[in-house]
Amino acid sequence: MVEAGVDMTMFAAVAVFYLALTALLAYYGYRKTLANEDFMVAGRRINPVVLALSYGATFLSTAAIVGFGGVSGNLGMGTIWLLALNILFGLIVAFLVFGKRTRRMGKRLNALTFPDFLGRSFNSPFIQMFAAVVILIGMPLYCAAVLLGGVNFIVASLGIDRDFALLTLAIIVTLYVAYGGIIAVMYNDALQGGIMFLGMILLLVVTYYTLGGVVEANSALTAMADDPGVSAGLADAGMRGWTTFPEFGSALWWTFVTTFLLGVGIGAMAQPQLAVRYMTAESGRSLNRALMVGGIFILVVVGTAYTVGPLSNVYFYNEYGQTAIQYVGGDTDMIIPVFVNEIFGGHTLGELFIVLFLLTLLAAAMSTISSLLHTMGASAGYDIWRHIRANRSGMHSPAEVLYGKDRELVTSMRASRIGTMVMIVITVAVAYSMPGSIIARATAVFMGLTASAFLPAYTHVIFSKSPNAQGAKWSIVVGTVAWMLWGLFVHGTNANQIGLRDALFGDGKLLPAVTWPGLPWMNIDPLVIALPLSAAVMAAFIIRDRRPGRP
Amino acid sequence: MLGIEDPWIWSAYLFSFGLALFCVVYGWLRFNEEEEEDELDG
Repeated sequence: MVEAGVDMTMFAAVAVFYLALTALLAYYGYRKTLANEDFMVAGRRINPVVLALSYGATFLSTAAIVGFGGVSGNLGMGTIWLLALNILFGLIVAFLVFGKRTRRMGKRLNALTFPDFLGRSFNSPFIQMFAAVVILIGMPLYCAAVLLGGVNFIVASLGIDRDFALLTLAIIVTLYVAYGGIIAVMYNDALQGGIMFLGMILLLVVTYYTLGGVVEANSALTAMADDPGVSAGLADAGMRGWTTFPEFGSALWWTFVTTFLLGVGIGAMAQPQLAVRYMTAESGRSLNRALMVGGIFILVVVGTAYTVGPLSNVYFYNEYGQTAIQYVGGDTDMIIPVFVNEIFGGHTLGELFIVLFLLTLLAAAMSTISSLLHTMGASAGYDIWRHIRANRSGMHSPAEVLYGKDRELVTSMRASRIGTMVMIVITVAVAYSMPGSIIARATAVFMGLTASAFLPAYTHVIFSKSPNAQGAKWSIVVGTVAWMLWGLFVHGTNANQIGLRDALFGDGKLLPAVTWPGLPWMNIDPLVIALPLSAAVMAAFIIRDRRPGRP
Repeated sequence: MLGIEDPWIWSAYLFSFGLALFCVVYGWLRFNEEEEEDELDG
C-alpha cells in the first residue's frame, strides 16, 4: 500500500491558515449568538448562497465522498442512481416540498429543533421526547462514520496514528460547535462547501487526464469486467462489472437498491439536522435560490466521488495489477484517500493539492459532525432535559414546557452545550469500536432509521390542517421498533456487525431458510419493512378519525 | 455512451444532469418570486 507522502511542513502551514479562518468565523458567530433562537436557527435570517453551501456541506460529507465513493470503487457505477436520488429527494423534494412548508410552520410555531417542530406541530411532548431519543440513538453512529472518513484521509495522507487523528479531529469540532452555535456552523459550512466544490472538480479533471481521457478511462473500466474480472465472491453476489448495474434480483442488487439507493435516497428527506436548515431560511425565495446552487453542488461533489471511485480500479490495475479493493487491503473506506494520495503524490503541486483536498474532506467532516453534534446536543439539552427538569421540580405541566418560557430557554441553551460535549464523547467511543468498510453502511443505517421513524408523521403534519397526534405517535413508535427489530435480528450485515442477534440466539440467522416468495430477506434493508409499516399506521389513524361520527 | 455500455448507468448520469439542470432553471426563474403562502401566513 502507498506510503504517506505529504510534507508535514506544507500541511502545517496550510492547515494553520485554514484553522485561523475557521476560528475567525466561529468568533463572528459567537459574537452574534445572543439568544437561544440565534444559537438554534441563526435568527431565521441567512443568505441563500450560505444556506445552499451549508446545506450541501452538511448533506454531503466524508460519508458521501469517502464512504460511498469507496463503495462505488468496490461495486461500480450503479451508485450514480444514488446521485440522481440525492438531487431528486435530497434537494428538489426536500427543499420545494418539505423545506418551504417546514420553514413556514417552524416560524409560526417558533420551533427550534426538529423534535421541537414535531412536538409543537402535534401538540405532543411525548413526540418531542421520543424523536429526541431516536436521534440520540441513531445519530452517534452516523456521526462516528463521518468522523472516520476524515480520520482515514489523515492517516493515508500524513501517516499519523489513527487514534491520535481521531481524538484531535473530535476536539477541534467540539470546540467550535460548542462556542459558535449554528451561525458559526453555517458560515464555516459555506466556506467548507466552497473548498469542497473546487477540490472535487480538480480531482475529476486530474483523474480523467491521468487515465487518458473520458472515453479511454471509461472503456478501460468497462473492459476490466473481463480482464481481470470481478472477484468470485462479488460475481456470486450479482456483480457484473464496474460500469454495469448488479444483476436484477441478486443479493447485491437487493443491497444496492434497498440499502444504498432507498435507504440513503429517501432517508435524506427526514433528517433532523437538515430540517433545522430549512427553518433558518429567511423566505421561500431563498430556498429557490439555494436550490440553484445546491443542484450544481451535489452534481459535482457526489458525481465526482461516485465516478472517481470506480475509475480508481483502472489506475490501480494499470500500476499494480490489482483492483482498488485489493490494493487497499479490503477496506472500502480507504479507496478514495489512498487513490488521491497516489495520483497527486510525488511532486510539490500535487502534494499541495493533497493538503487542500485533505482540508476539504476534513472541512466536510467537520461541517457535518458539527451539525450533527449541534442536533444531538439540542435534542439532549433542549428536547429532553427541559422536560425532565420541569417534571422533577413539578413547576410546569408538559404542555407548558413544550411551549417554553424564556427562563427555561436560557437554561436549556447551557444544557444544549453540555449535551453536545457528552455526545462527542459517545461519538468518539463509537468511532473507536467501528470496523472497516463501515462509513456508507452506517450512513444508510442512520438515514433508514430516521426515515422509518419520522417520514410518514413529518409528511402528514406539513400537509394536514388538523394533524393526527395519536396516529403520529404510533407511526413514529412502530417505525422505530420495526426498524430496530429487523435491523438487529434479521438483516444480515447489520445483525452480524451489531452482534445482539448472535448473543441472544446463538451464532446463526434468525430467518435462515425464509426465502418466500423468492426474496433474500437478509439482504433487504430494514427501511423497506419499517417505512411502509410506519406509513400504514399513520394512514390507518387518519382514515379512522375521518370517518363520520368521529370527533 | 462515452465508454459506458450499460444503459442503466449512463441513463443515471443523464437523469442526474437533467435534475441538476432543473434545479438551476427553477431557481433562476423563481429567483425573486416570493411565496404566496408567506403573505397568507402573515
